Amino acid sequence: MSLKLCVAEYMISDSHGTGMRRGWFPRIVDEAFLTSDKDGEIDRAPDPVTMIEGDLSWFNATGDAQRVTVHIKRSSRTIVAQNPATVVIHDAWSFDVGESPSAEYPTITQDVFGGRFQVDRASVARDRLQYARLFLEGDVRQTYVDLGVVEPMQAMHFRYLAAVQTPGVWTEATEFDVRNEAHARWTRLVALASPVEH
Amino acid sequence: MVCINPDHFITYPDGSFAAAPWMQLRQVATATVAGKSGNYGVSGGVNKNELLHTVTVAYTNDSPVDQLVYGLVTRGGAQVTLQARSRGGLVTYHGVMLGVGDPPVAEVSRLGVGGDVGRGGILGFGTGFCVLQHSQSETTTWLMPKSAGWYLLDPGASLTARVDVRFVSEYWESSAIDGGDQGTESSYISGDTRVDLFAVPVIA
Repeated sequence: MSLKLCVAEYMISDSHGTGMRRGWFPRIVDEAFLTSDKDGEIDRAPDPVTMIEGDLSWFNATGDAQRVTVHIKRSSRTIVAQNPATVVIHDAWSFDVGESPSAEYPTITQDVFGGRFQVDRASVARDRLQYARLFLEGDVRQTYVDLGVVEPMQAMHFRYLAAVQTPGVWTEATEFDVRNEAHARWTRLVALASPVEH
Repeated sequence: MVCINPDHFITYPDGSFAAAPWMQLRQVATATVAGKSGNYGVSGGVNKNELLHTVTVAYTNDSPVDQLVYGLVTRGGAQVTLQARSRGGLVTYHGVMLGVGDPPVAEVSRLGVGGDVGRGGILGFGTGFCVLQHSQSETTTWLMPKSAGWYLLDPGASLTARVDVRFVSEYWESSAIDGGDQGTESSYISGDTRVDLFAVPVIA
């Protein structure tokens, strides 16, 4: 039996000894591996169509305040866009922190992968379109989202969405086969918690 | 009474003690500059080199322990759209200096595009209609990815980091386009730019 000391935040002292509590160490508290169920050929999608969807949640039972960051790792992305169309894959997220948190459905903003190779104006008729295709591949990309402080006995809820869209001009050629594709593959979400500087 | 190192632990008036916050990996500074978008005239015009964002963030080691500092740079979603023959894009520059000041920056990253459609020869004045668009999602990279190691700050020492984003063109098409300007586009969207600094204590 060891001496019990009077300790404050992020520390523990009991009959086993004195040391740091779990909440002192930066660590992974929740993670998810999400895969796309819409990869491949696409049709016209003026409104975003969901490819990957998922969420993370964590309840702070450590007894100390925690700063939570979500690390979003996205696979390489691929699109094929046929003149004059634009093909993009959106990434969006939302989060809520508090008692019984519930994040809203993520809103699409300007976090986009994709492009267009347009060699005909919007006014050109279907049977007069020229042939042009854009093949675009993007690297694996990561980003960090700071959720702020999760107090003891509170929780966080994080939602993620990847969606494909074909904004703008869409004219489907009649004289040859059209090919538009989108591949979002996968996204990994990792929630990290670490102590807060008071 | 327990004998503790006051550089590593904080003692409270009630007699309790806890590890000092500077004894752990943590975020020590952050700064964000809002995104920007813009359009350029598609015919006429000259090469562009326009400053869009500057983010400066500094940290002073206010702890009694040496700290190793590193940074992460997060660029929001970005998009470059250009008409035929114009080539260019968004260029990111990073700079770090020890002390407080305005660090010189050097190019570290680019997002750009450029294209052309069949036109050439002696009479190939101007160009046909073509618009290329390249969009890139939000991405986080290391501050100063070309330099190795982290920055060591003694107690009381400071570090300043700066990130610039510019729209830079390599070539700007200034002649008339077949069929006029209708439907052409030369524009950019550059998302928020955020710089976060993190520190880790060093015990000699």
